Amino acid sequence: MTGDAAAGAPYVGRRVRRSEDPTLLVGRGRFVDDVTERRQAHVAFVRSPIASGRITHVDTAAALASPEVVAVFTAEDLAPYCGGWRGLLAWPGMVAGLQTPLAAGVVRHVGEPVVLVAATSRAAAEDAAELVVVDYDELPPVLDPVAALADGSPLVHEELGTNLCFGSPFGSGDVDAAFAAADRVVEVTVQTGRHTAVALEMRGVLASFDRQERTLTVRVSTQAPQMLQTLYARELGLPENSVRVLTEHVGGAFGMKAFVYPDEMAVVTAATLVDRPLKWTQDRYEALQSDTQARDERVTASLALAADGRILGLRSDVVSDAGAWSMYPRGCVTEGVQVATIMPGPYRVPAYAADLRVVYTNKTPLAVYRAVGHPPAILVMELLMDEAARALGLPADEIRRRNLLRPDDLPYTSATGNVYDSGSHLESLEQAVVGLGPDDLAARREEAAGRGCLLGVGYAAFVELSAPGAMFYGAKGAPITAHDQVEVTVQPDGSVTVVLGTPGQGQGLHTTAAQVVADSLGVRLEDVRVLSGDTAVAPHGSGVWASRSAVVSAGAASAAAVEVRRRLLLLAAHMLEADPADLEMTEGQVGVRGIPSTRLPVRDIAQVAYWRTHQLPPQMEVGLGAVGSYSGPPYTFNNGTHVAVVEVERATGLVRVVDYLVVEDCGVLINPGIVDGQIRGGVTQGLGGALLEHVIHDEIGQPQTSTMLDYLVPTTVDVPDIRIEHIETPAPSTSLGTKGVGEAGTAGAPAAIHCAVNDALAHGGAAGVWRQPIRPADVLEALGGAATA
Amino acid sequence: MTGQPVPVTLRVNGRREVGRVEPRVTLAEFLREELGLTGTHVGCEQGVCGACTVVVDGAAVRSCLMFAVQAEGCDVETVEGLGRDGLHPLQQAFWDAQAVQCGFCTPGFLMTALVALRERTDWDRTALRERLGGNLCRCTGYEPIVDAVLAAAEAARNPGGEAAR
Amino acid sequence: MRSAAFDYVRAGSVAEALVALADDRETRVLAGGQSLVPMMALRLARPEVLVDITRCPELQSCSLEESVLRIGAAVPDAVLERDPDIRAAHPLLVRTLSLIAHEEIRARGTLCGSLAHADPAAELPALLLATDGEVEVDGPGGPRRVPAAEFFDGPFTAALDDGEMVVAARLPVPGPAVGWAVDEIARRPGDFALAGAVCTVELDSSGRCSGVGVALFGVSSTPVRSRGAEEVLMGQQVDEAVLDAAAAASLDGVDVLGDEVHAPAAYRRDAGRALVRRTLAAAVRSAGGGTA
Ligand SMILES: Cc1cc2nc3c(=O)[nH]c(=O)nc-3n(C[C@H](O)[C@H](O)[C@H](O)COP(=O)(O)OP(=O)(O)OC[C@H]3O[C@@H](n4cnc5c(N)ncnc54)[C@H](O)[C@@H]3O)c2cc1C
Ligand code: FES
Ligand code: FES
Repeated sequence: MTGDAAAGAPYVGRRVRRSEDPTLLVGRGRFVDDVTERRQAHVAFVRSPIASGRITHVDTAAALASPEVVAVFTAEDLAPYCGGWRGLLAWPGMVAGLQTPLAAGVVRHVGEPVVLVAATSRAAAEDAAELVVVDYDELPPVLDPVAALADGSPLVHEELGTNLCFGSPFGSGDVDAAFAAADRVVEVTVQTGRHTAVALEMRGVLASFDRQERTLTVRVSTQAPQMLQTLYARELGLPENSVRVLTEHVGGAFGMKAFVYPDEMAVVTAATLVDRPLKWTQDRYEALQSDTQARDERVTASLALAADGRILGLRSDVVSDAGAWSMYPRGCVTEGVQVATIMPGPYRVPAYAADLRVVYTNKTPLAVYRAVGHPPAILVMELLMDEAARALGLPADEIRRRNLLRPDDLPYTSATGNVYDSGSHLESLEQAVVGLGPDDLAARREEAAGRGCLLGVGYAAFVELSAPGAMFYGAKGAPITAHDQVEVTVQPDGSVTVVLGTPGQGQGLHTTAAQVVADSLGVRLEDVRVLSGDTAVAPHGSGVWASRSAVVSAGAASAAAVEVRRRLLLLAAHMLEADPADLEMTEGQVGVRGIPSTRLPVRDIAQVAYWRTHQLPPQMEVGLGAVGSYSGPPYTFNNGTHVAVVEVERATGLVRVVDYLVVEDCGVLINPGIVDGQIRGGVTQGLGGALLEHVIHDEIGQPQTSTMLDYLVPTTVDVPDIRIEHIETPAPSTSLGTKGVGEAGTAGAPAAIHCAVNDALAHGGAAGVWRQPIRPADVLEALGGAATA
Repeated sequence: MTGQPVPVTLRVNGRREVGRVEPRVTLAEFLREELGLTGTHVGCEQGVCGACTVVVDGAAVRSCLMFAVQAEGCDVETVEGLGRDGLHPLQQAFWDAQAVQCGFCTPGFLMTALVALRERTDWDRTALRERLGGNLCRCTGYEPIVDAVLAAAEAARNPGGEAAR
Repeated sequence: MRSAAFDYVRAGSVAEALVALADDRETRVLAGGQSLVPMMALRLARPEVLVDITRCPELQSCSLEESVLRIGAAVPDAVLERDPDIRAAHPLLVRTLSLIAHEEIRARGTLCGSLAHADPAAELPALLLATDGEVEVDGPGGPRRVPAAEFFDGPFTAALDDGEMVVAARLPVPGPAVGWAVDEIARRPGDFALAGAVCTVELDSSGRCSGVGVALFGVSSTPVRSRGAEEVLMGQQVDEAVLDAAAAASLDGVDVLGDEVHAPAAYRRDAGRALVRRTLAAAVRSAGGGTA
């Protein structure tokens, strides 16, 4: 497990191998579906086949008659036990309908769960589900979020009287004056495609209820077990100490597994009503119709510029297609809000006015997905920068250079009130320009032209909001807050146990926590074992989201380790009859600085703390464990610049990303390998968004992309090797100097790739493409039909 | 009645296994549910993601697109059969290269790579990317996976190497 | 996503398979299962009896008879690709196979299964059509041969009667003087094609086109011959202008698919023509023709 650095060197900053991997590599991971309870019954759902309609009749008799069926539940059956919820946050004027585990009376999107069938096998449950008869009165679906705001539009939620979920202006400064004073104004209208996370492990639940004890145990693929514990208890009227949530391995989540899903809640509720554990493992068809979606925004934005390219003001109009529900408890407005508020990015934008509308439609709910709102925000801003550059005859890097924040601008408060306390906004661009090697660009363009291709280069300079504090959700009423807790215990033999409040979903949190703790306690990494995933024994945590773990979880691990270290030193001082201030810890030993003969192994100290407590000084507690907490600052912004080089094939419109460079500044790196993994994976998802991924509905709201043959995610061949360079500007506001990074790749990539495509098209004498994903058809259309090969 | 269970006999990781399954049970489901070999993952059931890849009679195939009865008499290798004494060189290479994040895709990649390395060990990067193109990973961006397989190939080309054993 | 229940018959011979297929219930041949099983998982196909033909010894071999490659219905694509004799005899086939999905799919999917499945976006039906191949069918009415031009009735519909099965495909091997090319446009490598073309071109000693076959896939509701392109080329001295004209005429009379999830109709037209232009040029080149 050790890296190759010298013994005693700190683990933080080293690319040590991940402690999570051996188990996963030998196929012994425990994802939800890998665990079987005796007598478990399997659930299948009858889901809505239409986008909008009233349920007029449900007949479950034939299904119930099947000998393999354990139980069948409708909305009516579950209503007495789980009354439902509204995905509301305290945004002024926000409205949300009452959502129930199974659709009650009305269906609002294709794939919404209507009837739950439990049987002795999944196949039998699916057989029985086919026997359930549901009659619908179809209603005209609401599909276009702009048309949905017009008078007389059908309503997704009659009770709300409007399709507008939330509307608000954002920004500050005198924008009208800025535009009046402008030498140039450029404008873009961009539409980003509806995406979904496609975690490779699909959602799943295994729930069992002990009727005598009245205890509920739920194994679930989630990012936020404690949040679910609280909400299961609340919804089902159980005390929280009777609800245990288990989360071992999670096969990717990306924001999508941070919610109370109606289908999961239906399984959990049903489990309290039958005498058997219930398991539901989602299939991909269900996933593509019921997992939260994202990025469906239409944005019109304009930039007011001085003749020298300085930004004077920015305006944006953002419409976010929320789908049918505001998902509980994070709601559906974060994405739209971030599109609007992140847009000024790393640039000096003195005046900005945004207008946001989040609109309900009859589609699968939109919620948070990796880099929430950043990709469209950054895309729009970078497209504006390129348009400005073209209008003013400036190179793409030069217009950015003239507007990026400089060190003496920091700390900087953006026009939307975001404070950037540190960063390398201009420096990252300069480093990216050098990294790209612009000198041979002309030659590369010529070489590509010889192969019938247009070469394009795109820049994306960005900031990413990470590790947000309580004001994001907690202060708005959701059980989601800023802190994490970690318990660190030195065992009697000197080995160390770390229990994380927040389990990972693949980002290597166990490894990074172990690195932080090992350094703090001066023990070897292999002596630290990290556990997580059982709310019955783990301390509290807020879950994995918004690139917070390296700041908050690691911060909490450090806090706990510091306290344990303090107590360890105190006890050692007592045993060595020395002053604690004179002690040092290295390689599992404590000794008086400069006196080698005084070395006490941690094991010996721990023995006293646990088994020879009679030797403890009276004021000292038994044992060597502590729970540490950390909340972090309100947020911390990482920043960076991406450069994409693409080739656009003239004859077919196919786009290939041929080179990709990331210059990233996420502060202190705990494990550079893990950080780079986050960036690469993030860029890959951003590439998917730019070029491939799209949830498509037809004119009656039927999804056209319900298998992975139609919803396209990037493969090995679509992604180039990604060059990554780091600038390390420590965060002044976080305990370890770390900033989040989990979403930074996804934030910047769609913009860099899109700008590169438009650059290529511009070199081909064509106007740009203004939608994502950029399909070959869009490229050909921009080029005015096929040029002959 | 249609679909009654039928007997099936096959070898899995060198061990003879006998089962009775409904014909509609896929090989993936059989391995996971009947034999408890849950290292073979299911990510799409449409042959697209590759998470369920196992080796049948020497070929990497999708165990979601094969019924268990079709494997009658076949020799099946799964991730659990790799490196039963310590990590297999491929697994070690994945570990070294940080080619694992959530690990859900990993067993499928390992089985695909295992066969690719049995075919040849002189893969170049581009050809290897194509060869692994049928396996999806949503976390890593692929590069470390490609690095890992190339490293294992390199190790196998060296005399002491045994990545493709 | 689980298949509806079915009974499984492992046929030990074609005769056994034909008996099993004659069942009153809904029967289906199971070959590689790479198209059928996904449809069954979605319950879009729900046969009551599945007849596995992969263990029939008669279907497991290939042979080269008088410049026709005969491929048994149980031979997986990957086996064809690796066979040194086939690689030598029919490189166009090998190249076509490489465009299909990924190795792990081809390890089980069969050429005859692809023909029987008749996916309009599939490569192999177009190859059969471009090269005037035939399909050997057996069934209650006895064995018969169906020319490619009569085999693809509609999207996912082959000219097979109830109880019939494909026992082999007969692919004429392009002679040494025949140039060929196959290419496709797909969103990602391995995906079904948005548009694809298979071409064979023969030039006489003076460089005139003395034989040509162009078939398109992914463009229409079945694989189609591009008579337009073929007519422009046939008998002509091939040069850039002729190739341009052939490409321009390549969709004449072809009923191009309407707007679809991955491509609007206009794209299929533009890209289809571009692809014909590109593959024809490559085929002419490989036939020894001088033009680009
Ligand atoms: C992820 C993925 C990607 C794919 N991509 C492509 C692609 O790019 N291009 C492409 O062409 N294909 C693609 N395929 C399909 C693949 O090539 C199939 O293998 C092929 O189309 C069918 O062959 P099979 O042997 O698997 O047939 P099966 O799936 O067994 O059968 C398909 C159909 O044909 C019938 N059938 C099969 N054999 C016979 C026979 N001998 N007589 C009568 N009827 C028969 C079956 O009853 C069934 O209706 C893909 C498949 C997957 C899973
Ligand atoms: S589960 Fe088999 S390929 Fe995805
Ligand atoms: S590591 Fe998560 S899907 Fe590959």
